[in-house]
Amino acid sequence: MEQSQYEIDLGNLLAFDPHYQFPSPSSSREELVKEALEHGTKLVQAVADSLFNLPSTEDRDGPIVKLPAPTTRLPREKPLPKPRPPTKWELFAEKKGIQKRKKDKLVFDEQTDTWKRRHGYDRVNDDKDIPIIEAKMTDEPGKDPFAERRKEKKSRVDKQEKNRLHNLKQAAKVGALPSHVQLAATALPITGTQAMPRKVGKDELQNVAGMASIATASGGKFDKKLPGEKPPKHEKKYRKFLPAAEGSGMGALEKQQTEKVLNKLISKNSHGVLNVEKGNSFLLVPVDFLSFFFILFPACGSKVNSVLHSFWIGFVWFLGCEHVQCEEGKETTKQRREVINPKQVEVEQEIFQENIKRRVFKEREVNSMMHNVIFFVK
Amino acid sequence: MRPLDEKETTLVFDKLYKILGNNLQKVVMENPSHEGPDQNPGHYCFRLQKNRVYYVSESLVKRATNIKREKLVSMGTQIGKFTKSDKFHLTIQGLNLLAANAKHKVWLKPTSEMSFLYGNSVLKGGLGRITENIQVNDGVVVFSMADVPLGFGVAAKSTQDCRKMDP
Repeated sequence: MEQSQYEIDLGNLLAFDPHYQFPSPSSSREELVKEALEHGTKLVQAVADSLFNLPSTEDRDGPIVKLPAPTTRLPREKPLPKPRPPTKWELFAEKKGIQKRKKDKLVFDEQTDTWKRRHGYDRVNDDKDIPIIEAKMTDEPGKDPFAERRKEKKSRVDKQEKNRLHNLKQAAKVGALPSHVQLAATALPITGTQAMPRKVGKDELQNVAGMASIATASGGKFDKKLPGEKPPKHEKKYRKFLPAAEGSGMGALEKQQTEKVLNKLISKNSHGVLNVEKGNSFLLVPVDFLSFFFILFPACGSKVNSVLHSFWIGFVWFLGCEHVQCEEGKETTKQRREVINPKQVEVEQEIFQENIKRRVFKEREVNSMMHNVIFFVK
Repeated sequence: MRPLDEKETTLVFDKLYKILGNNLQKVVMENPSHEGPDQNPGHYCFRLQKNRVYYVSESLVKRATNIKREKLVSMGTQIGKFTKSDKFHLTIQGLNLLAANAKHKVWLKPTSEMSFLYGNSVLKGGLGRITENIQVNDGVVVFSMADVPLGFGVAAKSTQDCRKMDP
């Protein structure tokens, strides 16, 4: 009974309630939205209900129904095309009362005694089928009657083409060009539909000027230059390479280039800090902990400093030989195990960092750390 | 023969870095050469010849300049080539260089050596040893158990995954 209240068009999956009226025009926007949503839900439910009532076939993804043809007629998106204005012949035929007649496609050809097409290839009265043209008394000597026939035919075709273009032009004026012509309209010599000639840009002008300036016997060498005229640009790219061998092998420039690329690559791939202030050109410090280390250097006493320095070098080594870490693992001394277990190392590092923070440098501790590292690097 | 320009150098180094890691610096800048009669043998450098990239000692480069480009077939160690679409591919001739400095290594059991050499991927069953900290898509050098370098490739699984995985 609820469904009968709505008009349902299953073809467009559309439901419409013709009896519904809003109680009050619009109290507030929120209420209006709520109302619309509520009622919309009902309508969608109605569509869903009637969908499930349709005869369905079972599929792997669920039931499948075939929608009936839509009953609501939707409006057209684009306006109707305008009617084409009558051509000149149509006007003339109307004036004279000439009716269009259907003509047969095939016509009997008396020259060859066969039925042939009226137009097109192998048509009736074709030039090719005429082997002999009888001479008339009016014929001028030296004129080829076959060539004349061909010329006549061509002039007729040209005239028809001219008429066709004229008719199209009239249609274009009203804006009723047939759609199949519209796309190619700019290629046709129909005035009014042709695209406007492009404005010549600065670059194009320069190009032409450049070409003109070297289009002399001397390639433009002895021409007077106009005030403000620039020399013509190079057309080609001149690639310059570094010398293959320079001095004792690699040139300074090449070395520089290699270094630049290498540094860029390494700094891109390390998540650490590039230590620039210290002026250590080769030191790329990949771990935060180490940069922290460096900053604190001057603050320490000289004794600790030297110890730390050796530790530092050891650590750089350690970074270089990371992969050694897992290939070894037989020795069982306590120190050894400490280093081999990466977690342990981390813990040690943390303790060390803590100490740095507190500026407590027990020499013993540092020494043992150093042992570990050197042990490992050995 | 000519040096690589900046774009080419970046391509070559990018590819090498995948396998060598920070050892690349050592290979490029610090590897001393022992070739030639010179007093100061110098280092190695990269040279491009007929789209192939060679790792050549400086003294050899100097001598190779005597030979004209069309006639020069090869010099030093070829490490890779530029494809026609200007990508850089490593070639197997550079394996010794890569193996000596590789960051990530994989050792194969003798049974799966041949399979790898015929171009198949390495399965977990064929894995003898593996270095720590290999991430997915890292470049690795493959060795036999007797430490003979066999080839190189790209890790499909990280070291951690290799441990965890079913055989």
